[in-house]
Amino acid sequence: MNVVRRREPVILLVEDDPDDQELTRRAFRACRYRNTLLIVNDGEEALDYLYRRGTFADPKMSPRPHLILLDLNMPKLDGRAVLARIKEDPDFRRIPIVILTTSSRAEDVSRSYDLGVNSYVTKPVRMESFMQAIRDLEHYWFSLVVLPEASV
Amino acid sequence: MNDHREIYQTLFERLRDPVILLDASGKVIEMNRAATTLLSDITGQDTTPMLSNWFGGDRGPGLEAAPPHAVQLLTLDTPAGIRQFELESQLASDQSDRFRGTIIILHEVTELKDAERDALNRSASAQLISGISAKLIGIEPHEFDEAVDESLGRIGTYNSAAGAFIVQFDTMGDRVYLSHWWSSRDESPPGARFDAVEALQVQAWRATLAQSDLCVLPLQPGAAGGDRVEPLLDCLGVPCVVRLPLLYHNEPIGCMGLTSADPQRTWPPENLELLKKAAQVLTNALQQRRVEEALAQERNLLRTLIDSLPDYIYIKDVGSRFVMNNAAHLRLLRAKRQDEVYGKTDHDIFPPDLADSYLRDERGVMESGQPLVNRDESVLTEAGERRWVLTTKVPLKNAEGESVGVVGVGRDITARKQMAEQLESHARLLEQANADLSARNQELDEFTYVASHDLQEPLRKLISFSDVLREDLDAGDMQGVTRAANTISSAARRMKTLVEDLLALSRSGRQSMHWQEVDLGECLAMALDVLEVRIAEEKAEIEVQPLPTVYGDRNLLAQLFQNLIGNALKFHGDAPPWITFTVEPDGDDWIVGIRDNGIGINPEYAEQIFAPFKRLHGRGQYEGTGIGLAICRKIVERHEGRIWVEPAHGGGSHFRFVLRARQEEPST
Repeated sequence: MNVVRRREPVILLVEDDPDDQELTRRAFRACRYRNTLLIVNDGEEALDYLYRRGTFADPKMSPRPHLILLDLNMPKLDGRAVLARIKEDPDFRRIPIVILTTSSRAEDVSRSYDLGVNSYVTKPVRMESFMQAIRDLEHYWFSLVVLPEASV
Repeated sequence: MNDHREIYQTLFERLRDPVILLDASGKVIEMNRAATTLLSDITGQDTTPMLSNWFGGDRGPGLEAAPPHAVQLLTLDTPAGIRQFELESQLASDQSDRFRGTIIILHEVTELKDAERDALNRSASAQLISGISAKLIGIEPHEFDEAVDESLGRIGTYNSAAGAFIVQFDTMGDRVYLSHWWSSRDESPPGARFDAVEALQVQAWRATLAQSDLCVLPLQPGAAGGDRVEPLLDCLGVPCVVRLPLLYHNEPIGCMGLTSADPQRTWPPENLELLKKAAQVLTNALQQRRVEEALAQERNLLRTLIDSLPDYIYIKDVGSRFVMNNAAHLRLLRAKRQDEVYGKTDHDIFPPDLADSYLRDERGVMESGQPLVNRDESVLTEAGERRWVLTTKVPLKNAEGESVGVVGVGRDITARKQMAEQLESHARLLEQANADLSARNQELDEFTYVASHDLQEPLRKLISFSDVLREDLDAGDMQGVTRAANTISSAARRMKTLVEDLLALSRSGRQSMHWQEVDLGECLAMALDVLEVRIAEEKAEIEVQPLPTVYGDRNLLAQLFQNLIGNALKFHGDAPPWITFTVEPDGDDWIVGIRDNGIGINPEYAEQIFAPFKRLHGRGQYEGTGIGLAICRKIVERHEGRIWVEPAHGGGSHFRFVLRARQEEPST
């Protein structure tokens, strides 16, 4: 177990909207724990990151994330396709994935869980609530639950 | 001489023929025994009155004037009955010529004449009967009544009757009518009186006739066979009638007879015999006529019955030739009369393959003796119209049980079939409509969801960044405030664009189509007009070429060009946009294309990009609502065409769509 990494978890945010990226960044900055928030702009980039393709070829620049925050509605490969691809792959299926989306449609929720998502969170509209949600998420995933050891 | 005289005297006396010798004044000088027996002894009397009576008034006294050896037929009413003689008168004189007188010899020919008359009579009556028979046998139905009237005329004339008649009972037996009539004076028949005879009276009349033979009416008082119930004389309005029953197998069908104006009229027995024979001949003829009429009526009834049936009914002989077709079947075969198809086979009427299959069926029915029941047959009418007939074919058998033909009964079920087909096609259409509706519902559901998501997004940002703005204001972070304010303003603008694009999409689907011949070159010009500023900004090069005329809505097609060219202007790479057009005929359609040198589209997403709100790029790279191509697809679909995208040679995209070249009853 790498203590440093445990204390400084790497979070990969897959989000196409720059404004939403900004909001999430703000929320994580305000968190109790130190963390590393990495951001990719769409599903294709997310897979490129995980598989270290193209601009993400350098392992130092693209460490394996401890948690993936995934938007559902994105251009090109959307969140559902990314989720399915990750959960299909034995190398990545243990990385917890949290859907962070504006959609509260029942079909999206059940479909995501069918595909093996670990949590499904609807983005609160007010800033304060959003901050609180991010704090709760971090607490839950990084201090409460026991995660499998990451194979490098 | 005396001896001679004696001998002569003896001879004279013994002659069987009466001989009378008259003197010149007509007085009887001498008469032999035979003459005395015939005329009583009139010796010495003047015979002038008698001779005048015999010869007719004028010739009496001038007996001399009569030619010598004149022979005259004389009929005498004697106590022994009517006797007939040949009267021979001869002038006689003695040698001295002193005596002049007349010898009259009466040579009796009664028997001879009777026999002769008899023979004549018999031959005449035989001729009459055979004439009547010949006339009535095999006569055409419409000539029958006239021939019977004529026969009555011959019988009546032969018997010197005033009239002749036939009265018949109708087949129900409760009415009587004067069926035939002849009058020597062309009097019209007194038929009306018969109508008044009541049923009970008719029945009694029939009973009387069944028991009776030839008789003369009115009956002598006390004669057998009470005729009180028979109003024949009243009905005919004559005082005397000879009546004969017309009996067929002892059953009276009526009576016939002769009338006379003389109540005392007597009828010679040989004439009555003739009447009996005539009655027989007429009875047979009338009865046969009745049977024929009944048969014809029955045939008529049956024919009327089958002709009034809507089903097709026909009879074919052993060679499958039509023998009988009812009216419905004749109509189906487009024949006006039976003889147009009589003797024809199916090969004369239907196409060979159809006829072959019918004939096979019929041969099977005749050979097996088993009917073919409710077979679905397709029939081609003479007019070339296909109809469906449910056919049953039954073997027609003779008394020996051999098949001698086929009886066919067909029911036209075309309407039923068509209705079933219509129902089925309605059901199919309904199913299709249901499927379409459910697909549309799902599409709509998807659309609503995506629309609400995309519409909520800027709203959410307005709210979130208002919070951020306040926070940054509190913290005195003026840079943050500016950023947040910019974000808020761009979210509001985006909201506006989204609503506008959504309205455009909605309009492109709802606006009514104004179909007309449209020059696509014009549409392109309209689009380029709108995009003029952006073209200039992007330094785009557009190679306009002649475009075809299509059938569609001018404004929608201009919008199509505008969106596609707008897309090409937006998604360009490093080089300035270069846009060209392609045109390719495809049957009655045109395939029109817009090709660019832009960033191109990954074939994996070629289908998705036409869905509303679908974007392939993050907003940071290319601004847009993802509605433009959805509008393009909607427009092309409303023109009943399709749109797709292909990679252009040497990079870039090639959007292509199909439009109809000319009008063909649009369904929208």
